[in-house]
Amino acid sequence: MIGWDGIAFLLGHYWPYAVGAALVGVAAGWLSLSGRSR
Amino acid sequence: MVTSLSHAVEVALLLLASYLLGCVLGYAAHRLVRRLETGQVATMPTSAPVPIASSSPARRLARAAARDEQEAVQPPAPSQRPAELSGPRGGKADDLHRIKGIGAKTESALNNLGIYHFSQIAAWTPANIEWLEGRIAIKGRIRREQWVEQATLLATDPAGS
Repeated sequence: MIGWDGIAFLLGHYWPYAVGAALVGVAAGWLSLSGRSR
Repeated sequence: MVTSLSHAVEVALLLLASYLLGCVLGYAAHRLVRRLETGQVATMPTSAPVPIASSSPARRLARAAARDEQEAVQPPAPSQRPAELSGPRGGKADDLHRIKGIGAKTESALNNLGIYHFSQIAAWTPANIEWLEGRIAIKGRIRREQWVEQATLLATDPAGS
C-alpha cells in the first residue's frame, strides 16, 4: 500500500504530469459526449 | 531495480487516476453545459428569434425531430425484385466487389440474382433495395454503404480515375 504519505510524495514530485493527464482526461470526457450526441 | 519498478508503477497509477478523474470531470462538465444551454433555449421568448449555433443541442434536437417526422411521413417502400439479366452483357461481369461493402460472397449472391453490372445497381429503386436487404444484406446496409451511389460512379467511370 502506498498510503497517503506516498500519494502526497508522488503528487509533490509529479503534479505537472498528473495535471496534464487530468486535462487530457477532461478533453476525452468532453469529446465522448460530443461524439455521442451527433 | 525492484524499487524503481514499483516507483514507476506508482507514477503510472497516479497518471491513470488523474486521467480517469479528468474523464469524469469533463463528461460531467459537458453534461452540465448542455443542460444549461437547453434550459436557456427552452425559456427564450419565441417572438424574438435568436440565432443558435449550428452545433447547439437545441439545433441538434430540432434536426433530429425533423428527421424523425420525415421518416414517419414516408410510407414503407414496397419490395420489388430488381431487373435481372440471364447472364453478363458481353460475357463479362463487372467487379462488383469494387463497391465498398460488397465482398466475394455478396458479389456471388448478386450474380445469382442476375445482377452483374454497376449500371444495374445504379438503377436500383428504394423498392429494389427493400427486396434485396431481406436477401443479401443486413437491413439498412445498402443505403448506409451507399452501394447505389458507388455503382453510379463506377458505371460512369469504370477505370475509377
